Amino acid sequence: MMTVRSGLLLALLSLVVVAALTSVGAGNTSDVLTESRTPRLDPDYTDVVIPPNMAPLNFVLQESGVEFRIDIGAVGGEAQIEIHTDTPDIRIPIKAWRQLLSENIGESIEIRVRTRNEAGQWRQYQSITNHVARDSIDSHLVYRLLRPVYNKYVHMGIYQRDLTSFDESPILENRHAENACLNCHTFHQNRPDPMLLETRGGKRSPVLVARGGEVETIDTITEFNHSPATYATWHPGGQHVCFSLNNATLFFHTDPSVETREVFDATSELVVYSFQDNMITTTPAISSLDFAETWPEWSADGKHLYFSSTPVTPIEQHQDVRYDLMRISYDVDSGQWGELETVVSAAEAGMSVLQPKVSPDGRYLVCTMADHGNFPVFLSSSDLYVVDLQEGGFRRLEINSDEAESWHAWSSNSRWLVFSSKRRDGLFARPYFTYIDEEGRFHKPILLPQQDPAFYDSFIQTVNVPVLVDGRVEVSQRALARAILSPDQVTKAVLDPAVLIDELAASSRSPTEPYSSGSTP
Amino acid sequence: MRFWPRLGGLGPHRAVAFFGLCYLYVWLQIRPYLIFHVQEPVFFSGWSYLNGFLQIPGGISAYAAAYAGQSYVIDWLGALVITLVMACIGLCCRGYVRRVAGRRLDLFAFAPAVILLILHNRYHYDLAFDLSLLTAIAAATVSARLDQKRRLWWFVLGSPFIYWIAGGAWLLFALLCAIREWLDKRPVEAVVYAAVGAILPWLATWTVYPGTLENAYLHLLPISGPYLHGSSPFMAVALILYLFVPVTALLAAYIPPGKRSGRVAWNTSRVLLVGIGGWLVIASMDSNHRTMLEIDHQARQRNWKAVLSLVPELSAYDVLTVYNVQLALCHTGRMGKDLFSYPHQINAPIFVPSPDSPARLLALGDNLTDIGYINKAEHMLQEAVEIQGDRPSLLRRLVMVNVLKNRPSAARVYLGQLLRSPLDHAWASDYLRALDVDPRRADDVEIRRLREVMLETDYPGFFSPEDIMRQLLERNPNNMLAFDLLMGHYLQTAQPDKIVQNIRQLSQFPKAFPGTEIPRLYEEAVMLWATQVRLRTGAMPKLPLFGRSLSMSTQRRYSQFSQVLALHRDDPRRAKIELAKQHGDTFWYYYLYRGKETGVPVVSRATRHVQ
Repeated sequence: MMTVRSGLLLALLSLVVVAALTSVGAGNTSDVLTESRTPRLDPDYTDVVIPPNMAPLNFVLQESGVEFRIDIGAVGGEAQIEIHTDTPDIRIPIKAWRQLLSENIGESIEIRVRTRNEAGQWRQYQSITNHVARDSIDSHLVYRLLRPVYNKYVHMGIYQRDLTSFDESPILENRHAENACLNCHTFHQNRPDPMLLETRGGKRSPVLVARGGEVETIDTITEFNHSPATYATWHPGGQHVCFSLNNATLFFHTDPSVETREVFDATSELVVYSFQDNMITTTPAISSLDFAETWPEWSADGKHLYFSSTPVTPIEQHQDVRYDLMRISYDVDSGQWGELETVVSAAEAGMSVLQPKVSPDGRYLVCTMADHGNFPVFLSSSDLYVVDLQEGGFRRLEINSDEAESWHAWSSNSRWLVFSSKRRDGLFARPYFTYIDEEGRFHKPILLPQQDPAFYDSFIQTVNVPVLVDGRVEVSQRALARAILSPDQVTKAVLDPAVLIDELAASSRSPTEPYSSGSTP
Repeated sequence: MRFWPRLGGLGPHRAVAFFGLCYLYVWLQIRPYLIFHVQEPVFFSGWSYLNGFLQIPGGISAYAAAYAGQSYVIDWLGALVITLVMACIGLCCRGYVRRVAGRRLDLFAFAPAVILLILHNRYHYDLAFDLSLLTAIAAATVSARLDQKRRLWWFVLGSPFIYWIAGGAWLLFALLCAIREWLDKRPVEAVVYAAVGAILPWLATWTVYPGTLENAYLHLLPISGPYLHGSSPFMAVALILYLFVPVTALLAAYIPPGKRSGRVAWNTSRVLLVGIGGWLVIASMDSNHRTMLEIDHQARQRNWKAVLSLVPELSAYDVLTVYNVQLALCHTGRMGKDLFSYPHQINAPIFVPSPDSPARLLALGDNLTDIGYINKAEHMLQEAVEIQGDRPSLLRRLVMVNVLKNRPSAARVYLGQLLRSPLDHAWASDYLRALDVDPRRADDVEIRRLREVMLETDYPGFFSPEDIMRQLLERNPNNMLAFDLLMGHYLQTAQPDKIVQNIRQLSQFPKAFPGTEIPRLYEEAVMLWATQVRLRTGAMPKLPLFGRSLSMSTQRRYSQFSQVLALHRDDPRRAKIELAKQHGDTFWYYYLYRGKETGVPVVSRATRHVQ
């Protein structure tokens, strides 16, 4: 017979059991195991500096579990974003994220993660702390998307991504332009207008300049330069562009531990184009017979032209090719060139110095350095280096990986640098952003976030030439495609009469092209 | 049966019989798995893949075709899909003409199906064309069934959608709607419909479509440049298909029906028409082309014996077929014996015919992988991806290449994409799990084999086939495939001295060359070399056979060859004819009569099987 006492005991026991059961389902902290480490995220968004205007950093939680709780908020504060899901693909609500960042500019936020396994055990990981920068990043990223291309090209496009959201739209897909090759896109001082785009296709390889919705087609070939323009840089004044003219060959390695492709420039020269005069000019210092000059970049004040230069070398000695970083002064108004100066010598660096990019405030120059050669995206040794233009000297950035880093570009406020990196898999280049603080420290880079956190696990295209612009590129695909295929008018550049062709590189008169259209007939 | 659609007045039984025959033809003669082999319609799940199709007129038809095309891997199912689509087109054609002309077409309702079979006989004809055509004709048939006011609304509201779904076939839809109005004695409406049909694509290029005017009008019409494949007859047949319905409708409307003949005459004419249609379909099938496709298909599956068994069916061949046959000889250990018994190139490297066409890129990629030239294999495969698109067969190969290059993360990205392909999802899942266990896939027999032979030294630049083989043999002297290809290369480029220099290497492969055996063609090269030295120096050289010996049968045969040659010393033409009878498969015959030309003859002079 049950006594009152037994009944009370039974009731008490029942209550304890029920409480225990419900506490398991509800994440009762008394049952939570505490991990001594932070959770693994992919992409790795731990200890990073985030632009205050960037889209949510969605990620995949790489911890096992059947239930996941993610709380995001100010450090030590209440969670402003709570995510409770049974999938490790974490998608942060965009509105709440924007609010969180705007309320914590210059402050840190933390991500707290709990997981539950099938047995009902909860785990609490150490909080991830990220910092919200004071400085915004430019609103759009423009880049080329293409597959790993060898000799043939068929499908590619130039796209723009709104960095404050996940919207991506095409600026020009080459399927609308008879599969023309779309080369490098360049903007003047991070503005979306004007845009310069070099193309290859058929007998012509025009340069397009999009201004105010209109597109001008410029034929830059003259009696001096038969090669189409390759790399371009806008003069800060907006009225001049410096192009490189490259005589490039694609050749291949057999060692499976290295990138199969490599580019060799037999020769290259630099020319400056003036929009006002429609004139191409150059000087022996940047178009010599004995040296290959490439990768031009204007200084922030427009008084100097930086570029990479190396003695012309046969392809058999490609392993010994190393470029110096040079500069020369140039007065765009008078057309006066100054003397050549060596900024960083290859001998001093022990590396080939390539792709100089000057910050808009003129303080820094970031370049790539690789153990040899001139096309860093194909060289796993390629790393980002910074040259301090005020105090001199250069150093290797801490943000590098074992794979190729290249194709970097500054934001308009000089606080952010975007670059392509193959660090995820050694094959596909992905865009990363690094924050440069007032002390000149380059912070841990963040991968361009995507709406689908697992996006990069199946994206078999490579992101090429990422460039930051502070607004949306408005020119229509139609206008760009028409300018390639059937331009109303082609502006034919003329050669500066002061240029004495015979003195300059003869090789620039021989057009070569390592790539050809792979469109099937 | 009362409600069964009466197709062409033949009744349901004969209709089933007709389309049943079509089905059997597609299944057993065309063989959808070969269509898949040629086209490999690519389909991936997910919004981003679909979005690309939504940007262009006709994209939806292409997307649906890509999905339906996955059925081709199951032969009978692929045949069913194609036949159903053809039957629907036939139904709609008949329905339209019946509505506008008030007449049933009898057998001519089946003509579109016959034309479609002729077009599908060419393996490049995409199902997307069929779906685009079906959309246009079905929409026109629906329109034809409506009253005038509803037709107008249907045209106005439906046109943008029909255009965006069908692409270029929209022009046919507009024409058929105009014909409907014309035959209804509304010429003004007819002209307006035709004008809208002509203008809408142009309007699209100024609004929603950034592509070219040509694409706006002609996308998915099999008469435009990208689809012609260099064939004017193909374009003519496609034109007939698209013009069939409008022309037939007008003829049916304006030509009064004749007196009905007697039953016997009527049946005879039907049988005759069916016979003519059947003859056209069968005559338009290029069975030699089909055999070459079959050979390529078997070669890509590495069914080398099947490849060789198909050769007797060939009456002509191309470079790729020869390449596949030679690979089959290599893989079955018959290169040294049967090279000249099978189709072969003349005076050309045995290896790497220039990758002018995408189909060759895959064959090259496979061969380069098999011999261990991994980076070059990657090059070929990436070129193929760039030209042919993200075909899963290519992506699978790139998975293996990246594992071999110790880039498992890159392999995972390709696998991630393959997870979205319905036919490859399971394979990709399994492979990802295997990579989780071992990123180097040491459990995979083929990968283990390839790691033993693959080149690890860097030779930057461009190399001849001979250099490539030598590099591989330096890496691993036991690379049998590389050795076989090298020796085959020396045979085909008529370098007997190089064969002789490499006889000593036979001992590296005791299984392939047991005992004192020397493959027949190598023996023949040795004997020819010895004769050349003797003629040059006056003395017979010592044969460097390294413990091996020349067989009596080859020596006897050489003697016979020499006798025939001597007998017809003054009549080289006669000598050649006589020698071809018994010695056409020898190295000696090839050496003497290969001439100066290079490449692949349409018909091999030496191969006994082919005349």
